[in-house]
Amino acid sequence: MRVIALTKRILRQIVRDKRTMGLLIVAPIFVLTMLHFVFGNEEYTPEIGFVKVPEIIVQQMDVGDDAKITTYDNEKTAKEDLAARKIDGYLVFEGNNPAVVLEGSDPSVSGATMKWLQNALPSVSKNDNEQLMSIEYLHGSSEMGMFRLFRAGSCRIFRLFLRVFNCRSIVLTGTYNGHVRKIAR
Amino acid sequence: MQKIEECISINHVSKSFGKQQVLEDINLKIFEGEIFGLLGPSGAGKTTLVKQLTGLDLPTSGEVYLFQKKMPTLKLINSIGYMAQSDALYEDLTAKENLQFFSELYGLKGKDQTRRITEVMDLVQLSDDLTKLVSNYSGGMKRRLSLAIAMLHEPKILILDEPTVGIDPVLRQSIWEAFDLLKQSGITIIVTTHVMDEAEKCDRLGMIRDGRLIAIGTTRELKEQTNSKTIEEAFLVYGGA
Repeated sequence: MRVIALTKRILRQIVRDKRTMGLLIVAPIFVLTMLHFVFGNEEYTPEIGFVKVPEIIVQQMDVGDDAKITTYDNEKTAKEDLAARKIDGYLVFEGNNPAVVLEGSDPSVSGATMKWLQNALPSVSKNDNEQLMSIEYLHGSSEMGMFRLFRAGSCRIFRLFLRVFNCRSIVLTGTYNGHVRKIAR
Repeated sequence: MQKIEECISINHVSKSFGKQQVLEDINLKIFEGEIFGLLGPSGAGKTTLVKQLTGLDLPTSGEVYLFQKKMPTLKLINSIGYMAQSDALYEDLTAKENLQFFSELYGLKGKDQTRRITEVMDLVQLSDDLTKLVSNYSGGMKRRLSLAIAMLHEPKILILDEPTVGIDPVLRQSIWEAFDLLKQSGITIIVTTHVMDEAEKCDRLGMIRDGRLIAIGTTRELKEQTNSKTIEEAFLVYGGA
């Protein structure tokens, strides 16, 4: 009996209290929306360079619209473009062995690039006895863990705020890290 | 004069908080159907004494008996109505919702509940403000609502800690008339106050100062003993001596 009376009273109080209602309902919606913007899977189109990829393989590959392909004649220019962030990674053939070089500072970009390459290269994923592609990174490594991931995330939060407050004209000149350059761009 | 039943007896009650002695060897008997006033300046220990009576607090030494039962006991809780010095009301609920909550705590339901709520609210003249939020109440209205809540479950003993603070003289008058009515129906009322003229309306008075009971008696007795015209003078004589 007393428990029922107490419950009734507390529920009534909660309904009357606008601040509690706000914190209970509006605040989670707001936070989840922000999280969605930060960590949500926006469709990313990787920009991939092909260096000395044999014609026969390019024909076999299912290029589609999911990636932007740039063809290079030599690896040096591809590497320069990679460093300048014009491409996210490039596929290079040393003899018969495919190798991938990724920019690697944003794990989600690296992931999207690798995913596209694995889908596009039929032999890599289907044949077990095939030697695996060697993967190199310009920055970072494949062991880029949660910490870097969250850094990338927080970087995106920062970008979001820049967008929100319309202050993208702020020029960040620091070049110690790929992230910062990305923001400045 | 008919024999009056003793309803509260306080035997050698002392209370101290750490080194500070708040109550010192208090002996007091309160009889059924009387209005007993506890008079004393602020900090004298009125509230502390009242808390021993209600069983809200335990005395350091000594005993309190209510209806020959040693306090504190849960059995007697429903026969005490206690109104604390500070209002314990839910400000974001309406007066009616407050009353409903407290009456449900006392186990009042349905028709009984509605009847009691109308009765007590009529008594404190708040019937028109039943559906207002308590946060919109004035200080005096809150006091009256607290009083109404204390009387909800028709207790045999009504303990009121400074019930008329912040209440205007006209209303104070009507509240005292209500006390007289309650008294005639056999309810014992214990009132603490530091307003001297209010003390004159009590049947008997206990004067407290610095944790000691300096005088007990009817208002007339106290005045006669000290050759003074008012309770205030009598208090000064007892306290200053």
